[in-house]
Amino acid sequence: MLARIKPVFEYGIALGVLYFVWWYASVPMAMPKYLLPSPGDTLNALWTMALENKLQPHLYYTSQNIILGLLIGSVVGIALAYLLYRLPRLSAILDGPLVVFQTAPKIALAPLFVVWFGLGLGSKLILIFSLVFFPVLLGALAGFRGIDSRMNDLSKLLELNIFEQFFKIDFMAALPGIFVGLKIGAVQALVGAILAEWISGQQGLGFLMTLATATYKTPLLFGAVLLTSLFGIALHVGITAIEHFALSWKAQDDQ
Amino acid sequence: MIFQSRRQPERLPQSYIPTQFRSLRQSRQPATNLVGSQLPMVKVDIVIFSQLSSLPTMIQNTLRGLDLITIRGVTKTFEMGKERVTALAPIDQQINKGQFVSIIGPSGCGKSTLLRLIAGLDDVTEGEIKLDTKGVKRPVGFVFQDAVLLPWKSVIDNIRFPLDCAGVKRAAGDKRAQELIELVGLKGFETALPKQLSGGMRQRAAIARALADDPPILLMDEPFSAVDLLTRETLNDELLQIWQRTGKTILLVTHSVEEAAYLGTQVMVMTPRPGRLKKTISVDLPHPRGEQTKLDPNYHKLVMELRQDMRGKT
Repeated sequence: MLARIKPVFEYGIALGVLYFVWWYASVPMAMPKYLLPSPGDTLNALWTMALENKLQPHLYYTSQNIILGLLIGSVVGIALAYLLYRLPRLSAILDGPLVVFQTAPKIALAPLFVVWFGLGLGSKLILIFSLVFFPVLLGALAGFRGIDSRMNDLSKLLELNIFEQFFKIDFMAALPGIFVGLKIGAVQALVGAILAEWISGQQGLGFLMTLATATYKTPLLFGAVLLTSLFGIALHVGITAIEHFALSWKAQDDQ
Repeated sequence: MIFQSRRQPERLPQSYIPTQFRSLRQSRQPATNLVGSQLPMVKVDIVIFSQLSSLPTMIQNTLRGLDLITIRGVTKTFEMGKERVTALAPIDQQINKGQFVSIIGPSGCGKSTLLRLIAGLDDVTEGEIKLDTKGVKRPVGFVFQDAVLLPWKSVIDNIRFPLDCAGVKRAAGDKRAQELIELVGLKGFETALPKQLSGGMRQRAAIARALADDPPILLMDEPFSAVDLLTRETLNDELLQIWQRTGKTILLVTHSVEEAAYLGTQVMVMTPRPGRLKKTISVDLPHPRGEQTKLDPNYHKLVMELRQDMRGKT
């Protein structure tokens, strides 16, 4: 029970301290509102937007992009990782190019994606995808390469085809590695989604930020930042919960 | 004669065959002696079929039908960088139905390789291995040195796994798994995860899994080398019981001569670099075996002989 409450407690303290500093700087120290709006002003700005139903579409748009990008990036990342694991020759050929793409600054490429793939959903998803793909690929690859070689013997003895082997044994065995990649990928997906909306588009939390900046609505800018952080935390908590469920067999102390 | 040891004869002495046939009527596992593991197959065939016609029909039929595993001129080489390492020199052997064959030899003698070849996990470089298991979808069960259970599945799910993969209905699979759990003495641990079990219990689960879809052949690669001595002895006795109850043909690789002698109806002695079969010994210790077997002077004689075979040069 205590172990359950502990993370909530820790998160709570961190957020509480942050909130206090924010409040202290804005209200008692009376920083100008265009530099640092108070928590009250910020929440107020969000609340008014929400009441007018103007906030929800942005939230929905950003979350949809993140989840789609995360999903596509993970599926492709895991699939390619499995291919590389199964085909060492392919892995030898692709290792070099993959390192180049992996180390290339994807964020710097973002404007290029817009030029190539347009202002719409396509370029946004491609940016998110490129950010999610590599951590998931590396995590999954580490997971697959860590599989006991006798698991392969087992598949061979049971005469499993490649799909059965993947779904019944290899995927499950590589899950710990996959989740490591997925957790990094989720944070990257958020970054990618916001960045893509900064560059182009008329929707999303990132768009809201640029709009607020351009119109000097600092409380709204703060609100959007706040929502983005909360979104990041929710994403992390969600994935951790799935991980706990999927990897319950791996838990350290379940006597 | 207590054990019939077979030293590689250059040419088969004529007096040899009748002796073997005489022992055939008395002993439980005569046919391998007859077939002559070390002989080139051509010679053996001639010997068998020229002699067979002089035997009663019943025995002839039994002899012909008994060969479950036929190994002919099997070699295995591995590529290690530029070098080719010969793991197995040509090996010929026939293993009859219902035998418990222990395979011993110093490490690096290719005994595990031989087992993997029989299981079809690796491909032979030359020669062939034939399993007389018509109509059986998966003829071999395999037990590794460690249990190699799926860590995310409970004991019963692990044991049922081969059946699930073969598309057996859940209810039938559960029934079968439950029987096996009782056979290997894991009752009460059905829902435990592998990591919650001791090494010996994990190995029992692995044996049950290997038996799940009822393969006629059970291959075991040093299955008890990772468990403590006391557990090992218990598991040995249980394995003998399982063998007698199920009538499986078991091949067990071990580096313990005591285990080999205690369990086997036959012992294959192998020598290293390149791995070759030195001899096959028939063990005539009576069944069922137990504590009294370990007091049997013949058992000690056999252990001594095996130990010398393992140490001595070919």
